[in-house]
Amino acid sequence: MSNYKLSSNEAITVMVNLMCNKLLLSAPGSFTAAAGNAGWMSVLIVFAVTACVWIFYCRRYPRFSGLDLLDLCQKVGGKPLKLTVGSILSIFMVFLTAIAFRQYIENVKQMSLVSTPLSLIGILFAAGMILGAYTGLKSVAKVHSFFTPLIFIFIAVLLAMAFPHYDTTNLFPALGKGGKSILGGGFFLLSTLFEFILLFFLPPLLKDEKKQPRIGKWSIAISCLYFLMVISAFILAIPSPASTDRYLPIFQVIRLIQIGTFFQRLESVFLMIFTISGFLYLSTMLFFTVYLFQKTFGIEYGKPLVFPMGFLVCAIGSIHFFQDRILAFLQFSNVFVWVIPILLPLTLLFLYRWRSAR
Amino acid sequence: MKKTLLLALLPCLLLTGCYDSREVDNMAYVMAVGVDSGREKELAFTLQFAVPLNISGGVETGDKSEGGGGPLDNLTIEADSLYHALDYANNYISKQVNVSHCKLIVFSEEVARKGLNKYENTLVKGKDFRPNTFVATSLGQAKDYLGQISSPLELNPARYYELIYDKSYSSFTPTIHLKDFYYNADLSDIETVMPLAHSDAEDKTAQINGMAVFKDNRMVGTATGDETVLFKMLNGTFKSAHVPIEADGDTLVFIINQKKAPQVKISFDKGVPQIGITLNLEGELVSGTEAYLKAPSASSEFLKQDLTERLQAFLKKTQTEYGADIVGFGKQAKRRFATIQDFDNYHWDEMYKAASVSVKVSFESTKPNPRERS
Repeated sequence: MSNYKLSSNEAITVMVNLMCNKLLLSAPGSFTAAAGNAGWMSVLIVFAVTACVWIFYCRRYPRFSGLDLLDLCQKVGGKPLKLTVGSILSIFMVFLTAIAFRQYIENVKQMSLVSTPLSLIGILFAAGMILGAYTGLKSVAKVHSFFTPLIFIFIAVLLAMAFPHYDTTNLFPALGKGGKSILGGGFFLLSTLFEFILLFFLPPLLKDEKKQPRIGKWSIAISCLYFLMVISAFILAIPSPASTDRYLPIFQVIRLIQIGTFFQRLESVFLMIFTISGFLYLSTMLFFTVYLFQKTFGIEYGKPLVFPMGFLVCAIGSIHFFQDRILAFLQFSNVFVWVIPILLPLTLLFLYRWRSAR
Repeated sequence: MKKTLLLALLPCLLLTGCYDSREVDNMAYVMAVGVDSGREKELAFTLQFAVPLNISGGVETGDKSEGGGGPLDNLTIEADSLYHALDYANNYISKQVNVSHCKLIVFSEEVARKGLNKYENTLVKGKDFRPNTFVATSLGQAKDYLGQISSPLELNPARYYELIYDKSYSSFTPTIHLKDFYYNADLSDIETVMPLAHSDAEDKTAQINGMAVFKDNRMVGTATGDETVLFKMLNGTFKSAHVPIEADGDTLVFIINQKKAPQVKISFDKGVPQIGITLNLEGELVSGTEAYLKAPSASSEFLKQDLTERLQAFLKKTQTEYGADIVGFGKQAKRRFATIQDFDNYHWDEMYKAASVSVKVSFESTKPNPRERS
């Protein structure tokens, strides 16, 4: 779609925003619903598994430097496998972007634009998403490198301002819902990091493809820190079982801020961060969806695909079925979505090794 | 192409807020809501509105404006739910009712004794009410309490409620917000209390003093202002108060500060909780007979003994009369359990009634002899 290549820092900011975006939606509530007040332990498990997969991939198979997963599919199973994997990935990307799109427009309506029709908010987000993806990788990268650190800092400051409401006794009983829930629940929460799969598609888009391992490590480390910070703040501010509520967890924490009569109602600041983050996430996801689709089917020009793919995302996100069912659907999808970012890369690598050995 | 697209999208960004814009002048801001039992409908809601013209008139001239009314106006509506009442209210007044600046929700004793579980979601999950809204329980009708509110010293009603319900220098009422009421409702390690609002129709006065005690979100008793001071010492929210004690027929008055948060140690003996509390107080004798003023250590001993007995009696009352862990010892106790399931199976709320509680008061005199100052 573009000849622009990402620098390491740009790639890290893009990946951090993609992987951490769900923190502003329902992820903190999902972690506490799974493991109770020990949700922060599930975060460590999720990132430990993710880091292991990444380190294993980078150390064991350095020969794939410069190749992405679709190239690997081509090597392992030829065009049929590439088409199959690419199609499955594109379908997942479209569905997950559509769900995020729906969550964003519903949450903005709930937080601020109460009497505005959902469709109008949807049009605004759709326009932002399509425009962002259409302008290409360069603008996506530049905007991310500016806004992602800013969003991180703003969230950290807002959570620090909620400090008077933190109660360390909320961390006890230490094991929350128990070891089984932390491990089991934590395992399925790997689905929260679906966007991790995009790390495997970065090499052709990087200025220096040899920096891919470093980009991955930093993205995972910063995301882990971000997750720990937000989920710990959520657990400290809101005691379980109230913290198992998945209705805009961070919004609930930020609503508590009241420092004197001056610093209160800071959720308006959060709304701004939330909207910017949403535009960045949706446009980048749409960009990568189009990129994957283009590469899978060998289409020369990707830009014309942005509009139909964007409309497809909006159409799926607007399906009436999702009304009131979005969180239930996410919970259901958590059971199998983790297969893509965790199992798919490893399976492809093992298949390649097995084939090479033959 | 890009420029045209950007220009076309610009109105989306700039005009979105215009769709549901709200003019401040068109709003009627509810400052407090009273919840009573209704006659024809299940509930009666008293909405207390701010009257901006009278507030601003008062601020500038030091008196109420020519309109003649006070800064507050009450409207009582019977309805099955709060939001239904708010909708009805829009038929009574010209402006649109808005509760985003509501400072206080008062439940009548009758409503509180029936249980408040059904209100928690309505109030907290809705984005209209702030989590930092104060909550209180009124002895008698909430409508009467709100009707008697009068504050010649502070005409701004929002400020009035902030000042009276969030006093760090007064210890006779707890400060409880809507979020505390909501969170505590589902917790087994602490029970809710609320400030107790009183009104007197004859004297036309309203005040808050003492607290209403809840168990499982149902009011089970009341505590006096003096007991509330003890409660605040125990849960660490106490700042400072003058405490009178009787010593050999004389009345000694101490000013007491909480030096540091109380230390709570919990152990289990054959499954029964053993609670040990150490209060770290400091202060000085400010009024007493000559003999005590000259011997501060003797008066301190009287204070420690008196406070220990009163704290023990109060804690006994929480165990036997209320049967509710309002201090929140359960928050410390749950550190001793590995999982939430283990803690739930222990049934802390029941075991607390049988707990053995011991109190130790440590008092450090900040001034050996107050007379030395003069």
